[in-house]
Amino acid sequence: MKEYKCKEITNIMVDYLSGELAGADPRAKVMENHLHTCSRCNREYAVLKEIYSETRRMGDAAEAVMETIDWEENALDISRGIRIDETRRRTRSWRPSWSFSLPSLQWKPAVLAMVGVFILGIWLGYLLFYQAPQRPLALDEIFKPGEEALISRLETTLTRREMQGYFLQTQLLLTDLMRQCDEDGAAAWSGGASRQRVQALLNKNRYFNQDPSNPELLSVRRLLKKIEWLLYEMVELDEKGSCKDMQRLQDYIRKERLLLKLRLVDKDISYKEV
Amino acid sequence: MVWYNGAMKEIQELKELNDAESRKENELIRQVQQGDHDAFTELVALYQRKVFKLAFGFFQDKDDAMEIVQETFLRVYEKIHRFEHSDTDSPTAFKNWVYRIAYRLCVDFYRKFKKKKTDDRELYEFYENRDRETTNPESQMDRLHFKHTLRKCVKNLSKRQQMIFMLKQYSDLKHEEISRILNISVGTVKSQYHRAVKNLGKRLLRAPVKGMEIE
Repeated sequence: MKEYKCKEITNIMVDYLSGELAGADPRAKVMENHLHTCSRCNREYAVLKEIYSETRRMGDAAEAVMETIDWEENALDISRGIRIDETRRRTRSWRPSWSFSLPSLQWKPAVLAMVGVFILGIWLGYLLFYQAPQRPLALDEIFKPGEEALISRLETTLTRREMQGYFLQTQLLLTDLMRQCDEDGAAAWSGGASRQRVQALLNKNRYFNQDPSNPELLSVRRLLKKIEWLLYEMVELDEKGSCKDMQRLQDYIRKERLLLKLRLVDKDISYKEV
Repeated sequence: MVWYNGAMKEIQELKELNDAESRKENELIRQVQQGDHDAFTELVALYQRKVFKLAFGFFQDKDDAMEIVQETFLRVYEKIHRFEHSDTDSPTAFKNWVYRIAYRLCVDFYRKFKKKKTDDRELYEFYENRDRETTNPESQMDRLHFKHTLRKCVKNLSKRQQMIFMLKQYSDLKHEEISRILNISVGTVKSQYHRAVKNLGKRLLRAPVKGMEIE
């Protein structure tokens, strides 16, 4: 029962402190009597009273501050600020919204013209100077089919001539070699000059061997190999030349019938050219 | 009977005065809606103190309160064209509308900028001024602590209770006026106000507040 009563008393306290209770209201007396007996409500009353006096002090502080303000001037200030704002807004409103980024309207044509010239310049430069990146041309793009065959034929002819020269030189060299170590032919093989001839022929031989796909050379490949071996042997010969070595080479040439073969091949090539 | 007649006459005069004020206010609003700046200045002069008091209750700071006053009337001016008002409406409709705007601005402003600033500044001011105070500095300090705790407790109330407590305590508004500002019934205002005060009392009793002399 006491609990309920305390609750009710709290309600009366709030009314009392916020001035809602008239002085003659009997509830005020009830509250006062209760506060004398109930320590808990007494504590609560003290706190609520402090809350009210604190908020009243805040109100007093507000009044004190309000005394220091020139309210007429303040009202005029607010009104003036709004008028300035409004004027600014009105002067701004005639301009289209997209022009805000440009400094002023006078600049706009100039800026637009500059941008136009810039774009035009880039376009003209593109038309005049632009070149597509070049890729290397394929052979069939340069020559027509007939032309290509012609080139190939020319190449073959040149190779054949070279080869004829090579075979002729080789025949002469081998003939010189065959005459060595006879009773009277000792002077025919002079070391230095012969070696130079052998080396020149070796170079040519290497050149022919570099182009294995040439159909003209396929038929003589084995012969060329043999001659190459022989030429290397001849490079190895001494300055004076030992007859034993030379006779070994001469035997090899006779056995393989190299001179005969060379002559036949030479003839064969010459025949094809005609 | 003479005193009764006199009193009735006085009441009649007061009522007429109120009606005249209300009519004048309506006229001012109409003029502002037509773009009259002087009329707006008069309207500002009528309500700026009330707005200031409410804002000062919130922030306990002159500059902040003045800012709220300015911002409130800027909003009022922007929206007054949409404010529909007739003589048959409640005479306090405009006042309530202004209060609503000011209150919302206070809440927004507090949420954005003022979360912790106020308490620190008050402590600083206290230390700055305590030598000049004639009263006992210790009890001053206790009061300050009580003030801080009270403010914290008010901030911890539910939104509606907080609103009603502030409007009642800081702006000296009646329950009827608060009910019109917040668009709720007078009964709700009363019960919520009671609940707010009781909640504050409970919380402050629980919080260890120094300097609370219990009689």
